[in-house]
Amino acid sequence: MNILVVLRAVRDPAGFTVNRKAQKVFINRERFIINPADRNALEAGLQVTAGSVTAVALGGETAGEVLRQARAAGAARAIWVRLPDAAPLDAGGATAVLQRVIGHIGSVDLVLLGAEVLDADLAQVGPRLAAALDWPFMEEVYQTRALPEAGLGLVVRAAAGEYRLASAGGPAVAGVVRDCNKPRFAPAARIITLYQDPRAVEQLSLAELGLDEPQLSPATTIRGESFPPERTLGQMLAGDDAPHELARALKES
Amino acid sequence: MDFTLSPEHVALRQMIREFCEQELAPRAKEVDRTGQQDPAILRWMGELGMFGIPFAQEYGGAGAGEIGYCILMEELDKACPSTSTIIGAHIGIAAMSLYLDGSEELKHRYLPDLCAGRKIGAFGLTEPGAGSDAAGIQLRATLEGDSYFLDGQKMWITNGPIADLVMVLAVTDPALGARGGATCFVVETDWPGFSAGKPEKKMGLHGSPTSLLNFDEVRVPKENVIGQVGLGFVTFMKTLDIGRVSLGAATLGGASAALDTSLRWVKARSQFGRPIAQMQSIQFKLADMAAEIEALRSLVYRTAWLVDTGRPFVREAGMCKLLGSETASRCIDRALQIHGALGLSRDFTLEHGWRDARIAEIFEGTNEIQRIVIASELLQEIGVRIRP
Repeated sequence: MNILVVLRAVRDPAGFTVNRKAQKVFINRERFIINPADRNALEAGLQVTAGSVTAVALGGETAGEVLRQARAAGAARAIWVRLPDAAPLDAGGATAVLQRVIGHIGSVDLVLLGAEVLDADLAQVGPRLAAALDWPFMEEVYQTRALPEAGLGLVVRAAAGEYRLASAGGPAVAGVVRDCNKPRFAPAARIITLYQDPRAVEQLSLAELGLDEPQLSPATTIRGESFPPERTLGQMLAGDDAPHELARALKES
Repeated sequence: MDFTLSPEHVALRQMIREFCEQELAPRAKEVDRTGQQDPAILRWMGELGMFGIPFAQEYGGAGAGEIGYCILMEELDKACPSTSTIIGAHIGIAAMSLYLDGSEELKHRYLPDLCAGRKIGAFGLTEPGAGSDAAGIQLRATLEGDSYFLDGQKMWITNGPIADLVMVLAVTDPALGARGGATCFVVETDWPGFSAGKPEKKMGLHGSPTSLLNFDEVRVPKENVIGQVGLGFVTFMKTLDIGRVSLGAATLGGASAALDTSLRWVKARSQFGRPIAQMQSIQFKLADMAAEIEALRSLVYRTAWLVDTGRPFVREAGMCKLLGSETASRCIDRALQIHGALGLSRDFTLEHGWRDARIAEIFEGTNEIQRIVIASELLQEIGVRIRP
């Protein structure tokens, strides 16, 4: 069973501060991490002992780095679609590339990706990829399991505190919930071996996938950024007089 | 000159740091209070390769070299000094003596288990009558047939109560003494005649068990000699030389943790209507700590690089241990002052950090011994030899 996990490198939230007054983001440290929910998706894939996980990432050096981390954690294969750092893809571009990657690999039974992305709203990639492939998209996935005879099963949340084991009956794309599992630590020897192996991460160019940059240019452009107003803390009212006090406060506001 | 870590070492640090922050730091107070690290945590660390970080992969190690090992010790000591001491004694001196001078047969027999943490090692040098004067050891090894019989005591042995293997120095030829008459052995602690004493009650490092070791005519086969008969003292001194580098790395961790804790506190704590970070008296302490830590970091990692590239490192190794232990004690003490009364609270990390740091000026060669080592290397360059 071949599981493809899509990884995105995002800025480490500990490496920047948001100053609302100045309407600015200050980068304190240039550090990138695997998007946290993608790390949970990788773990969900690695937990299927009968499966083989291929990690894929699109982008510049940071994408290559997250793929080496994925290999060290246990992914059997990693594919880096190398793009210039300065050419960010939007969800449409990423979908087009991933569709070609799946065609390139040949047989993929399941695509896992994090249900939320930290740095840009690319949570559309999962559903759009499923639509492009004409595969079902499963949301709220907590776990992946190998099912006897039925291929891969997904544990999805049906309602608060209730989970259901579902099978797509064929290949599917699934959005894995952040913090639904505890990502494993990579063994030290594997880190050293894989980082010293230049073939640990396979590289693919857009040309090899039959694509070129203009085809992938974003449909939208970013004109500027602004920040929502800061939320202020509420006030606790206690005692018998609380309803009257609340009414008074509401009337005055 | 390139002072950057290799990508594999950066990734290794990241993994170890996450493990330490998530699994070790939250339990450090408990380890100090109960005097025991959870064996399940140690097993997990073994599975991740943390018990054999520097050694070659053919012996079951991670192949991360001395630099990788220093990274491990720095991160461990930041999170839990007791655990870092268990690992330091296990890798830095016990397994290291075997790795440096053991026969291929002996290394293949014991190192895979040591590297995976399935067996824990201890290093037996100090005796009731021999501390800084390591050459004064009395533990006797007598050859009878194809075995040696070991008789005597070792004292203050880190990991003593939990060790499965002890690398021990014993006198094989009393006429020659330490120089030419001492031999190094690997002893399995379940062999008849061996016993470990009760864990000592120490000021700090409560989770790192220390004890006396009793050898009552313990039969050790000849194959378990590390290196050559009569040259055990050389093996032990070589091991201690290299161990000082990683011990310096551990003290670097302790000192950095004190600075990190202080940086968080000075931002959060206000007095006279402003955060104490705004006070010059606090700023000076922070600056002194940062400068000393940076100097130590440069020294430790440069010395690790000397080791990994096969260059001479003995003088620098002594400096790592000397400068490191004193820097850590000073930095933790300053951090305690910055934290005021909170620094003394048993609910807070600095209190045990302060107690844990003190031993680094004593074990693995007191700082007085380090000064002698450094001076002896210095004077040798101008043709002066220090008499022992």
